[in-house]
Amino acid sequence: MMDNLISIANSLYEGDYAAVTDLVQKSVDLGLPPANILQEGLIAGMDRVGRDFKEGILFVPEVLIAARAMHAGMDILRPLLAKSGVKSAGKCVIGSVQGDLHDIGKNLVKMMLEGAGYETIDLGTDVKPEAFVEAVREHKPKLVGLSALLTTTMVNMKTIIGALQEAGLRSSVKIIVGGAPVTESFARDCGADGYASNAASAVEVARALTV
Amino acid sequence: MTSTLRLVEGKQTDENLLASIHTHSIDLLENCGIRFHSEKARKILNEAGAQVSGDIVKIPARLVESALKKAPHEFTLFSRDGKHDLPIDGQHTYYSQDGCAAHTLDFESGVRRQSTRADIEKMALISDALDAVDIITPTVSAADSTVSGRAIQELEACFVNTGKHVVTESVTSARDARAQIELAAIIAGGEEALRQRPIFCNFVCTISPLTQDAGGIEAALEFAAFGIPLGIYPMATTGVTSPVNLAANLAIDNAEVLSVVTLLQIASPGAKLFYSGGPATMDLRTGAYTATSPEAIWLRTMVAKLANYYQLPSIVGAGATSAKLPDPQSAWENAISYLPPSMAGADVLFGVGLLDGSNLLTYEQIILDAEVAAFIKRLLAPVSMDDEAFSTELIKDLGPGAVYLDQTHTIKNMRKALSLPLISDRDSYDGWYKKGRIDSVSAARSKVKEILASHQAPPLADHVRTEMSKLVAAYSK
Repeated sequence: MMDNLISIANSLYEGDYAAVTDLVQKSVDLGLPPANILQEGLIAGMDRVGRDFKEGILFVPEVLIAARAMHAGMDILRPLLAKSGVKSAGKCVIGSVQGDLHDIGKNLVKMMLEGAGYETIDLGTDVKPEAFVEAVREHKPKLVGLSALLTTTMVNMKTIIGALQEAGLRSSVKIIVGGAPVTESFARDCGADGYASNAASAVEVARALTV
Repeated sequence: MTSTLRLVEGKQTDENLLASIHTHSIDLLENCGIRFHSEKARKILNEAGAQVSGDIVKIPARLVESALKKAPHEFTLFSRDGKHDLPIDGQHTYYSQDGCAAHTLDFESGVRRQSTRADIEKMALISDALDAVDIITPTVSAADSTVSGRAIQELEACFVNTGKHVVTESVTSARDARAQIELAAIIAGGEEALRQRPIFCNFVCTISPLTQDAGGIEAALEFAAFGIPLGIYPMATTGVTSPVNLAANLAIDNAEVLSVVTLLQIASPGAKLFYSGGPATMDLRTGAYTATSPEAIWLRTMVAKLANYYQLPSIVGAGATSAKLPDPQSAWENAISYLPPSMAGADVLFGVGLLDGSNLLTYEQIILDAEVAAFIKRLLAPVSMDDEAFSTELIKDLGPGAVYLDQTHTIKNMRKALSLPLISDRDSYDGWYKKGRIDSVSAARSKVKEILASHQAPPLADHVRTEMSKLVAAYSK
């Protein structure tokens, strides 16, 4: 039974979507506790992916397909985890800010967060402040992720954070900002809680903010 | 049809202008002559029809032309470990150090000091670990060994610390040539095995203008007779050992090379020779030898083109910046100096790891130069243009607006399609900042430490090492 979990971790590391789906289902059928499948299978594999990515051994595309495999495993486990009272790492509402149509970076962050066990609500691109407010009210996430690629649109991050403030929701969430023109000091100035310079560090920042 | 595309297509020659250099060199050979200090060399040339008067040898064009016909266009440089054999086939540019500097920038203290055998050992070990460095030259003199044992010790220091082909320099007598041959024969498994697979080669320097040293030439005759490949390496310096004009410098360099090609092909027909050279300029403000001025780089690129003109393999001097530290100047001068001769199709480039006009070995510079070498190799490598490479089906499948980042195709091909730098930083600003804002020379320094701490050269059998030591001791007396 332990072998199954090791195989899940290995297949996830390889980004083998089909094998991960198959092995997670088998493990569930064998009666393994969903929390163990998550911790010792999926997350163990994803941690190895994260470590090797940091070392420069794995490249971004490999992390993405591993995250996708993780997602497939999570689709099977999520209802079972909820039933057994195990909480997900948390929800994250994510989107590219108003005026910004760029979504590759935002999508990478989303995949990485999902790979780390977060449940994401993707609002897409060119997202108006009121849409963020609405989504936070509806989904009650722990995290909000704001993405911008342009110096002309990154100023909207401040507007969105202000809108959440006005709606009385600001203190209920941690806000992470990112994107090419964004810097640590800009993040501080616009009132965000965290700044991630790339998709991998977004996970670290998210974890640090949601402990 | 081979469907690859290259930045520069193969070896290119500019026949007419190169022919005019040839004509001027022949004029010098026939009517000015070359001073050969070696009586043996004079005798060989004289018997073949050259006119000897005192130590001046005038060589007729027909002797040169017949010699050029005998010289092979291609051969292989073999490696002692068998894994680094290098076909000299006009399709590759290989990188090596050059010799024979007298100083090393001490890795610990940063102070310049006289070079030692240990420096050669470390240089060879570092270079052995670097994919982009193909051939190992004893870069510095083993000044702490006996004069009689220096040539054999420098070669031994390389052989022990690298599996790659070694090119020796500064062999100044037939005895020292013999010593190196005997040492290599121990590793190769006997003299016949060494003849079949020469695991080292040598290059002999001419003495510009138009002079050939006795000892160096007699060593060359010994090597050629044994089938050891040889480079003939003039270094005429504008305004000093050649007229200040670049054309004149080339005519002199070329005459010097042709005179030795002629000698060696008469003595050992079919001898494997590299048309070579590292002509340079002098900075007339200071008298400093300058290998990386625009004029010197131009001259050196022409050495590669002349080699193509004669259809001979080439070793071309490059690198050897005038900078005294690994720094931006060392990087830009060496990078610029490597590129044009590589584009001209030079088979081997020298200069890796050297500063101060090739008089100062610096380990960090080996790393910086290896980075440039790898960069240029990739830049000039053939790029596949076949149907598979065009990936048309994939593009059609995914359609406009697709992202290829998470495609299996990307993962399958990315490591082959895209090269990665050795030390160059390509991180995000924040990533770079968090890792400690490391500059390229510090990164090179860390790489040196990492290699010296962990890399091991392919081992030599104990009995081989014992035999080598005995021979080296005998020659070092």
